[in-house]
Amino acid sequence: MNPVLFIAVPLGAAFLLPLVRRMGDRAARGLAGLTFAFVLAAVVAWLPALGNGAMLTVTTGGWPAPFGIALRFGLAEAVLIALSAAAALGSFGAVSSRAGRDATSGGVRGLVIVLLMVVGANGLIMTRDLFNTFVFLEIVSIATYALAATGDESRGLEAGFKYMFLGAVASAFILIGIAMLYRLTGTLSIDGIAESLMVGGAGAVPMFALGVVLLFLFAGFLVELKVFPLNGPAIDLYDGVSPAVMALTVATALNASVYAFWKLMPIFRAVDLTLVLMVIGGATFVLANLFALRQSRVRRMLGYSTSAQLGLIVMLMPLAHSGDVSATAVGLLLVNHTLAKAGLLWFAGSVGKQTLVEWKGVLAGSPAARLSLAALVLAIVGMPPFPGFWGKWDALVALSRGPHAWWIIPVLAGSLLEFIYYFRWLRLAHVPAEDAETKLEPTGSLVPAHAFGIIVLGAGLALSSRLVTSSTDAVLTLAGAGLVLLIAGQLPGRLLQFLSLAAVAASGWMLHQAGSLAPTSITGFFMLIVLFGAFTVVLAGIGTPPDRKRYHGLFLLLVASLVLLVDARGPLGFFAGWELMTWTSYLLVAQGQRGGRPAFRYMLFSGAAGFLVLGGILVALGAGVTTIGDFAHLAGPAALWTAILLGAGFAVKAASAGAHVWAPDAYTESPDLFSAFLSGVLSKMPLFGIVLFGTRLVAGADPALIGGTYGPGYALGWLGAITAIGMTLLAALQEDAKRLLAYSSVGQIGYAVVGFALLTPLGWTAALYHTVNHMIIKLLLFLAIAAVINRTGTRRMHEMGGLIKKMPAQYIAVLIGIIALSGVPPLSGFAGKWLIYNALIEKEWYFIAGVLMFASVIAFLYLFRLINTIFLGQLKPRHREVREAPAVFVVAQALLVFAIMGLSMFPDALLRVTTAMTAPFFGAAGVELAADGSVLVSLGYLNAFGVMAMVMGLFAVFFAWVLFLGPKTTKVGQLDIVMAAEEPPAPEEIHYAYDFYRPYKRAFAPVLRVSVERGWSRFAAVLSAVAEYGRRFYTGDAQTYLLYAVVFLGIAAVAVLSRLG
Amino acid sequence: MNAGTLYLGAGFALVLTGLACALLRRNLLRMVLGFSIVDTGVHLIIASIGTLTGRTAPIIDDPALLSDATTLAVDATAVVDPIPQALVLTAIVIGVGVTALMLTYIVRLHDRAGTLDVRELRDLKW
Repeated sequence: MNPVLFIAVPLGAAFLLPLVRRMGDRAARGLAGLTFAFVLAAVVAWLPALGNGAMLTVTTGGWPAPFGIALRFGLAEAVLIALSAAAALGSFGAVSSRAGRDATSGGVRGLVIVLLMVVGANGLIMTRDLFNTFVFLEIVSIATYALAATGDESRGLEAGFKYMFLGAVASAFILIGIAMLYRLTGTLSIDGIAESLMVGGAGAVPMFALGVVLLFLFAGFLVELKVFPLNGPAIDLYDGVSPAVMALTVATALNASVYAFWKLMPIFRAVDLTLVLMVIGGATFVLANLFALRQSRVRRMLGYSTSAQLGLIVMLMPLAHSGDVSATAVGLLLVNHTLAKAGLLWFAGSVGKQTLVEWKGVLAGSPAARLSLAALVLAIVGMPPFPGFWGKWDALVALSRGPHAWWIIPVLAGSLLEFIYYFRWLRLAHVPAEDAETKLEPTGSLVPAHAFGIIVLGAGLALSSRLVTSSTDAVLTLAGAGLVLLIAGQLPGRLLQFLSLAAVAASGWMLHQAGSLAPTSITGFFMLIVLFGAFTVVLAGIGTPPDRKRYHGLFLLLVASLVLLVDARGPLGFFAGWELMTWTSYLLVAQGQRGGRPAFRYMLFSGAAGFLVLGGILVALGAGVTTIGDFAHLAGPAALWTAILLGAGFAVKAASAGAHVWAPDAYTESPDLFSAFLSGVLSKMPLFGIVLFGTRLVAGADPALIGGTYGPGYALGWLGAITAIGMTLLAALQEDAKRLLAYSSVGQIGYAVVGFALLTPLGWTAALYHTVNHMIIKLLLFLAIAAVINRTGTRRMHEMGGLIKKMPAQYIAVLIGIIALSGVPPLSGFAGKWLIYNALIEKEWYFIAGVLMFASVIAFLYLFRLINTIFLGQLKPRHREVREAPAVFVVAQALLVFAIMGLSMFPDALLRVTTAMTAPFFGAAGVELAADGSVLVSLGYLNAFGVMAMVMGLFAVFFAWVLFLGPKTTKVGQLDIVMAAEEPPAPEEIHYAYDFYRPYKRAFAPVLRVSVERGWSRFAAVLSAVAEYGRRFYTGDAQTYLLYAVVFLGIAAVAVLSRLG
Repeated sequence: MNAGTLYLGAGFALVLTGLACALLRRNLLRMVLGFSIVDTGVHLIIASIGTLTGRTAPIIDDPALLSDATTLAVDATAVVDPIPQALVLTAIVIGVGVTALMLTYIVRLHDRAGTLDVRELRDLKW
């Protein structure tokens, strides 16, 4: 087969179409569809043969270049042609039916233009001749102009005219450039020109003339590529033209232009334009993403997004050409953008809603469409496992190792802005539909969008083979089971939870077989935390299965990503696992009844945390690190910046004070069982990050730097302390039981952060002990509250009361939990607090120690409320029929209670593990563990078993005294209210529980007025205002746009000519 | 100054004139006219590349143009380079097509909005 067929066949079909149309529209559509299917099938069948870099050069008419036009067909060309054919296949139905509704633009006649578009794009992709490039560029441009007019909106006409007006001028520029280049080099063959410029060197052609020529070519192409500041008309085009048409142009005209520009890079190399292109591309990426924030129309937003992603590609292109960045990475970005953007455009076109507000709740009733949109959004923002992730990772790593490392900052900043508008869109589409009107009534088929979603996912999964580790079996088991459950969401919830339990158990067994569960290794330790947490939560879930259909599958996907994260063999595995964890947990938070908004916030902060972590990793990679173990070899500023960025990222993810605003809502509004996992396990992942990288950084650091009282950890220590006291205070003032636990959880993580910040072996051991202890306690407490909410139907504590008789098991669970959490003897929290205070005193951080002690006292306030308000006091009449939680649920809690009791009596067992983990990095254990179970530190010792025996003994005496020697009690019903000589009021008034700590609230009023929340909204308002004023740059006036092009040409002239030296 | 340079200068002058016209005139038709002038200027620039004083068109109507009568090889110093002329022809055709499409747009825009003022075409912005 000859690649010329990919041009000739659609061209022939275009000529045949008017004839075939006489046999009816159906025949015409059939011809077009067959043509695209043929091209797609032929190219895809060819792909395997091209995988090894094989390249086919076709000489047309038997004349070799430079006399004839040469075409080249390799892997890149094949992929691009496949994309163009696939997009045509997806779009032609919508395009021809749209045109059919419009009297002025003759129905299926639009198909001729689609065919010509594919002709032009395929030719543009393959040709190696400069003038031929111009001709094909004109064909795709004219096809775009013509398709823009086929819609029935006057918006399309306006957009099309503006686009054509600027495009025509750009063509003129390109034509001047091509002609002059021919004059200078005497050939039109791209390779011939590049060769003559290269071979001849500087003297071969007059440099000034060359500069002017390249300038025209360059400016002309940048208009075609829609980069800042020339992207106005292109963005208007998205606004005015049917999304199906735009999906087609993305995969044809745009990709082909990008590739044509890429082919010209050797020519542009004659004058070094690297910096110019990087500035233009980088500015486009950041600004277009910024302006997109203020878009209320979905299509226009997608237009800005296209411009931004093209900017990123243009920025990386010169580096890819010089070999600083792999060309494959840039190619992956382009392929990812094409698949995801075309899919999103089809999606937007089929849903048919114009503004973001109209999208509200559209997908609430259609889970499949929601998943599809989510997949496409995750793909376009570059989340793993989608191809964009791999492209971005490779490009950023290459940047970090080259001379352009600073350029990582705009890339990450722009990526974060991209997060905001895409996930806002996703959130609106997810809002539950309250009125029947907002339901999905697609005006077109969603099949193309779904298909591209599946293709982009498949492509990404194929690339994920880079992540193979010893835990791959377990990851695949969990992920596979997750996907199956995602599809089988209609089965009974109990069965799904049972299957989940089997998957978790099986993966645990596999990990054990693979030796990934050794508790004294950092990864084994945290792997056990993940598995234990997942097992308990799923076990409890068999008792009270969540009612959301997608919960079960997503939960397993989350566990899979956690296994991947914890068992990562290198920085890439860690970051991929981290990002997978981010989006799977985001989707789980969104499963909550009112989870949309909290999930959106969760995603933004997690995204920021992810980019900070990535920044830290990139600094390290730039300094020559390849494995996680290599982090120990970092020194000087690289080590410092790695530590700062990683620390900041983990602090945000751990919801430290200042960045905590995402946490309370996310914990509260998540599905009840997931809240337990969020608090018990997910909140430990930033701590895992601190341990994983921190141990290495500490091991490699100068002992003098780490050993002093006020070392680099001091700021982090204060952050942890402020988090601990601030969140504890806020927890005491909550009326919502889950919200209370949420603040408590965030505050308790603060304790662990303080422990790690100490950078002493004792501090780390204490923090690790606290991590495990907190996991068990919070799982227990959140599960108990979940059971109560499940039975009472409310989260507000003052609407509960007196449940001790109705749910005794939950009462015991909460009682054990709060005693253990508060840190009083004899339960496990005591040893944890004791260790942390010892570590703080040893390090001489007295002030922080004082703050933490004060926070512990405040913690009693909220812990007391859990018991008092929910279980003691007056039973509400409407809870008369409340029952205990199901037996399986209680079994899961019993596991946790046993764990707490065990830890309380034998903390040395856990400490033996934690000291073995940290000692190799510090060179000291910090704790001595005696044979009798005593824990010895430099300031004293603790025998937990002795403490337990003593407390239990005293308790037994006291209890016996009350039982046998106290006054006789009379049993009365919980609702028997007797008051002396008065009418008994409602039970609510007897059991005073609302606004319980009003006096404290008043006392702390000045502190509480410091609203971090308000600070963030102000920041958002400023960002929004900047975007609002910035986007006015695009006035919508064709002549203004032309003026920008002329001014741009002038500035580019200065830039280019100044580079001539 | 030879003819080629003259044509080249004239071509750039036309491009600038056309750009000014497209930038400054509010009437859509005049803007398209400006574009046509730019296009003509570009064509002149391309043609100027092939121009060499004293040479003739590369059409072999005279045996004197052949350097070797038996192989029919052309005397390269006697004729001008034919490629720019081929380019111009193609460019003219494309230019006509684009101009026609622009005029079609203007007709339809006028049908819808009843105006030819480019300032009225600002519904899509920001």
